[in-house]
Amino acid sequence: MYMTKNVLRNLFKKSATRLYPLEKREIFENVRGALDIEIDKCIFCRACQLRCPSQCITVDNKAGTWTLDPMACVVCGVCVAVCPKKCLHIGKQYRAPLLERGLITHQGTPRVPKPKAAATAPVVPAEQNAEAEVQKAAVATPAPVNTEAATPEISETVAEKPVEADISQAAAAAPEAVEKPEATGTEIETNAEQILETPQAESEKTEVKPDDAEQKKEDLSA
Amino acid sequence: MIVLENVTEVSLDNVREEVAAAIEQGWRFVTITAVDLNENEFEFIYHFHNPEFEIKNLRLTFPKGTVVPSVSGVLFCALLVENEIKDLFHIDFEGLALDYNGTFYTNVDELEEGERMIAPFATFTTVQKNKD
Amino acid sequence: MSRTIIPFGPQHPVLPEPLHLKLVVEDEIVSEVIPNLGYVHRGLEMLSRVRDMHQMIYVVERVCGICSCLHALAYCHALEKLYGLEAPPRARYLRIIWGELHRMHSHLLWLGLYAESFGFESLFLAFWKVRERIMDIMEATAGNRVVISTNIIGGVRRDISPENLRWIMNEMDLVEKEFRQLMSTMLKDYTVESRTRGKGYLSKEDAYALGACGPTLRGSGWAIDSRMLEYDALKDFSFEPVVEHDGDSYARGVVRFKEVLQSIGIVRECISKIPDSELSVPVKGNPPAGEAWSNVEQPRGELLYYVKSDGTKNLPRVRIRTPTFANIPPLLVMLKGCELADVPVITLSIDPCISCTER
Repeated sequence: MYMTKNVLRNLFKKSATRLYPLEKREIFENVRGALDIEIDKCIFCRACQLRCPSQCITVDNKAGTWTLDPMACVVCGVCVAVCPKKCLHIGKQYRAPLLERGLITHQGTPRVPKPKAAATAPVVPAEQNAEAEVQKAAVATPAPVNTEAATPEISETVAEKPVEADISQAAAAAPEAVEKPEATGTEIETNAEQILETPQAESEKTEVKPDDAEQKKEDLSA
Repeated sequence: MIVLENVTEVSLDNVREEVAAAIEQGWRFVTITAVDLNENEFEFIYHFHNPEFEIKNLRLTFPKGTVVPSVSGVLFCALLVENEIKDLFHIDFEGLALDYNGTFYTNVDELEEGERMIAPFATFTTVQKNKD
Repeated sequence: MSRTIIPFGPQHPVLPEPLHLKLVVEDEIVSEVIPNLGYVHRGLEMLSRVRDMHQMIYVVERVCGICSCLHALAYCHALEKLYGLEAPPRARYLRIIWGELHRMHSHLLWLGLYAESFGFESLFLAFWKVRERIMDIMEATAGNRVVISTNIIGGVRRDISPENLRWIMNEMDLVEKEFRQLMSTMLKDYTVESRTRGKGYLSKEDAYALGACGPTLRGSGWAIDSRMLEYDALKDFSFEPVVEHDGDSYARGVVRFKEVLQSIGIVRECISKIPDSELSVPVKGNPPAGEAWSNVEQPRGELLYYVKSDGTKNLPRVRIRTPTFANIPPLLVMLKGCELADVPVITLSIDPCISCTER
């Protein structure tokens, strides 16, 4: 009886709270929701795996897979900051609830070794042939860094690195590689067997193709 | 090499007198840090502050396996830290005011003969077999 | 006189984290207290053996769930001392802004729990409603509500844009207005006073001798606050700690209440004076061998880090001395002689953060 006035007033007044789920609150811009990757841009350099504080990312560069444990990830953003190709990003939506624990795997294209270059190389005298091989080795870009077998060998075959010295992943191999050719630049030109001829390689840059450095080792040492 | 400031070396014999003297002079006890130096030695650092934020440290180095005199008779507040060190590093103290006997953090009542020593923060290489 | 042992259990509505106290009670008066810890021990100090010093920032942030950004700040201070670096000016101001916002949200959380401990639930939720504004500021500027991950060695990771800074200034005005509306209830209400005045008395000499820190020490008359060391941007402001002289639970509540107002003022000053510069200095290589020590004021007291390095990328020893660890012996002294119904109120008045205590 006494409540009729209150009831009528409350029926026609606007509600004090938001009518969720009909009306949801907008999420702020910088919110760290969940991690995602564009697998086509990934070069499998494993920088994200090395820097992750909770060790939730696994990268297999031979098979070309990038695996994430979504429940272990704390969405801190370190991998986004160190990725050289900027293919990782953190979106605004939080991860949906999962019914069971599992891993998320993305399959990309790994670096595939090209067929042997000796079959297609032009017939030239020994010196020029060695230089041509060296140039082809010179254009081996990020591929050497991925395969671990390649890295120690690359420091011997120093020729490739100066061309790609600006690429950040060629971390340890690059600085050493850069110094050696400059020191022995002039004398090498005359010697066909010596592979360390960078000055020539630098001036005659061919197009940059991802090439297999291991392939080059076999050619150059043969 | 950067080291802590105002460090005084003490030995096992005079650690209680030094701590009592520091309290008489008006220093406030902060904490005890235990460090596993190498295979044979532990190190304790007793930290003190005063109201002007000056720092005083007492450094005590001793070989593994010795029994350290406890300062909880002089400082009541040190007993929590010493129990924690006893649990995590398995260093024995003599004269603890309130002794939890290894159950402060971990849940082991009494170690029986031949059981593995539980010392998660320290490595003992020579004392018993099959210890990490 | 019959003696009973009553467990003030690990689970209690008043405690934010589990703590076990065995109360020896004689006819409703507590005569002895024996504490038991170890419910949330995670051994985080040992992770420095497997994680390198940059990954340890994210481990150390997760020691506490309420004051996390200040743990990362203290760790970064200690490592910057080892490396011999200094953060650029804008980074120093941003660190103080986020640190003071953390202090405000922690004190508002405590004020809410304090009101709930004597049954005043509407005041509890009124404080937490004010706290939601600060959580919104954190989410908009740093990405997360509590664990914001913005401090790195050498500076900060993120910037706050000028329109966000203006928005924060507006929000500070609203927070202050709503907070002052609750002042007369918190400080002058009859129920609040009769439940907290005279309970849990800690004398001035006892507080110093037992190693108390933070508002527990400042509520007993000592003007000691680690922000007087003037780290980061605090050297550009004049800072005076808030002191009360009564030594009981009411005094500790008043100290924290006034610190919220003080923090609002610091945030406003920082925003008006913030300079322009880069956000961080680059850090190269492993830290040089040595030891370092850093001291930062957390909402609960002074937080100390001791870091020892031997030149490799893993630090052999990271020692964290949290303020609640130092405040538990004074609690054991305060609880003697009080009545059983006062135990939750007195335990809460030291602001126990047990996950900090046990790392």
